[in-house]
Amino acid sequence: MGYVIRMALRNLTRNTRRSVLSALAIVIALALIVFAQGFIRGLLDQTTDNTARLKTGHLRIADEDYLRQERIMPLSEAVDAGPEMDRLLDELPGVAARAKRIRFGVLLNHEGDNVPAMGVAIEPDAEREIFRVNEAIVEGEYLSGAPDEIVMGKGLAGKLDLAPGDTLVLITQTAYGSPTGANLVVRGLVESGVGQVDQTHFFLSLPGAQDMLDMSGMASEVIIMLEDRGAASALAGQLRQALSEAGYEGVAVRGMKSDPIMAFMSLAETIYFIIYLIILMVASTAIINTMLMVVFERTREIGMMKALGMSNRSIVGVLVFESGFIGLGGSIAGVILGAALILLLAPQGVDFSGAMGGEANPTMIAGVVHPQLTAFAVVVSFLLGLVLSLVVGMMASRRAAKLSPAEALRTI
Amino acid sequence: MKPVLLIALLVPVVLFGLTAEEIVERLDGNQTFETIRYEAEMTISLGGQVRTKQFEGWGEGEDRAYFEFTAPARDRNTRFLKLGDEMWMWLPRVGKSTKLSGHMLRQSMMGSDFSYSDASGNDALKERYEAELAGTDTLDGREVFVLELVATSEDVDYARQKVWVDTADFIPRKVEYYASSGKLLKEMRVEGFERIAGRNFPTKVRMTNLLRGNTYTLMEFTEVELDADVPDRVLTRAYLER
Repeated sequence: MGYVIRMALRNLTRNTRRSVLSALAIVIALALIVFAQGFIRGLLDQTTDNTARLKTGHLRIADEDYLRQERIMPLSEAVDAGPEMDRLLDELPGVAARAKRIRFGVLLNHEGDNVPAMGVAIEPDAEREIFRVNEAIVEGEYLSGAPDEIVMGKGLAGKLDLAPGDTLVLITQTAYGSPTGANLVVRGLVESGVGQVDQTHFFLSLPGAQDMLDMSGMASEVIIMLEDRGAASALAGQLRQALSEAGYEGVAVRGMKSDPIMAFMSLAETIYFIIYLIILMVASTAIINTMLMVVFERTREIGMMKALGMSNRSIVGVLVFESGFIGLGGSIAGVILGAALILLLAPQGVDFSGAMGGEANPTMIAGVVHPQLTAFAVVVSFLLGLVLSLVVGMMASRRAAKLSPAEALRTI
Repeated sequence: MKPVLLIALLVPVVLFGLTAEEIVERLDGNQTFETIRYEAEMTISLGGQVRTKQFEGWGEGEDRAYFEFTAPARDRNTRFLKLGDEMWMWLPRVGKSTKLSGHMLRQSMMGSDFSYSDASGNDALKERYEAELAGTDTLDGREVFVLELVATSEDVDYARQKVWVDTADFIPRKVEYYASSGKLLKEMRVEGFERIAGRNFPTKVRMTNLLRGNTYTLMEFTEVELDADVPDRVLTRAYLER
């Protein structure tokens, strides 16, 4: 066995340039795959995280009728989010953070310009852990809790020519359809990287909004973030029971899975895996080509070795090892290159918010993606590269094994 | 055409001697006014919840109207001013007036089944609709003309109306409002009227917005003065923003 490996290694150096070039194909393919996996992982994780923090929570309590008509955000279909709800949620284990929200459509008016916008009434302190609007303030300051101040998406502020310190008029309807409104002061501008938020959202503190909307003690939804997302369905069951025992009727507890974007993401992962396989197959044709050439070139040599009594297994072994070494070298270098690229770009992220279409982007997909390096991706990519080059080596060497020594010696 | 059928078709005309245009004119005569001062109460029933709101106002011709809510406390001092095609709203919480335009005027007024333009309109039907007499019928035991009205311009809230007009008092006992698609949007019933200044003026009107489901709004005029003196200062932005 040892001499087979030594022969394979020696053969590699007989045409160094060719060996290096075929290894290079694997290097590039694997670097691409490792990086793409890291990028997609980052994108999907951030999107899942955004969806949970901005929209669905890990669990969400809302009126069933509200969820059915969520698109129009009916304020009349709110849940009683008073002390009784707080008591129930205090007793629920595994809750990392929770917050009440009201979402409502409004018209914002500044110096005669009217712009439709989406208001999100939040509990400013609780949302530091969830929506984290405070981290996205790029100008001015975060909500202090005063009823007449807002922080708004920078894009939305731009449409109305507003800066921190400016005042504007909000017009909307109460939960009972009466017109209502407020004079508000812009306290800060938000740039979260999520197009929808930056272009259409503004935030204000919940108690002020409840008063304005005639919704004292009520909320459209209660968002719950769990310590362990995997425990969501068990805790949802527990919460449903607690709510029904406390006399809440027509109130639903939803997990993340019901959000359409989650179904899309599991599909995306499958599709990307197929794409990685295709990239790798294309790259492996370089090795196939090299190995087929090796067999042609060395037909006489192979015949000679056969005549000298070298077994078919050993001849195939030499060729498979040769291909395997190319694959091994290429895979190691490729994985290192891909990983280095991820580590290099991870801190500042890749900004493609321009390509996401800004305001038109109706999703929770992040505009700046921070690629993520996972051991799993590195190991799987490495193994894929290695196994594929071994398989390719075997395919090419079958011809060599079939040759009869006499015929092989006669070839020119 | 058989003589019997011909006679049957002619009966309404012969019996009442009225054309569609004449009926519409009588209808307009009852419903429209030169000037008005009123106090009214709206009972809004939506999804089993019933709420009451009170308001009062003035109107002058087709183009100028002012009304403000007086109860409940939450809505007190919410004011509206109509000047031509413009509608201004003044909210005590805001302290400035805001212009409502376009589709906002067709939205529910204060959560009721009436839209802002339903509530503030004083347009004569004959100016905006082509009428056709579809026949006579009985509705709740009363003899009625059935009128089909088709809008003559696109500048109306309802492309088509079907009106059941009482043959005795020319009150629109029932009105169906249709969109241009033919969809039935709202149904109105006049449940009471008073003889005021020579007109049979509807004072108790029930409107149902069929797009909302399980809802109605009953509007009752508790005080109406037609041909009232409307102080000049009332129908102005200054009064709205006072």
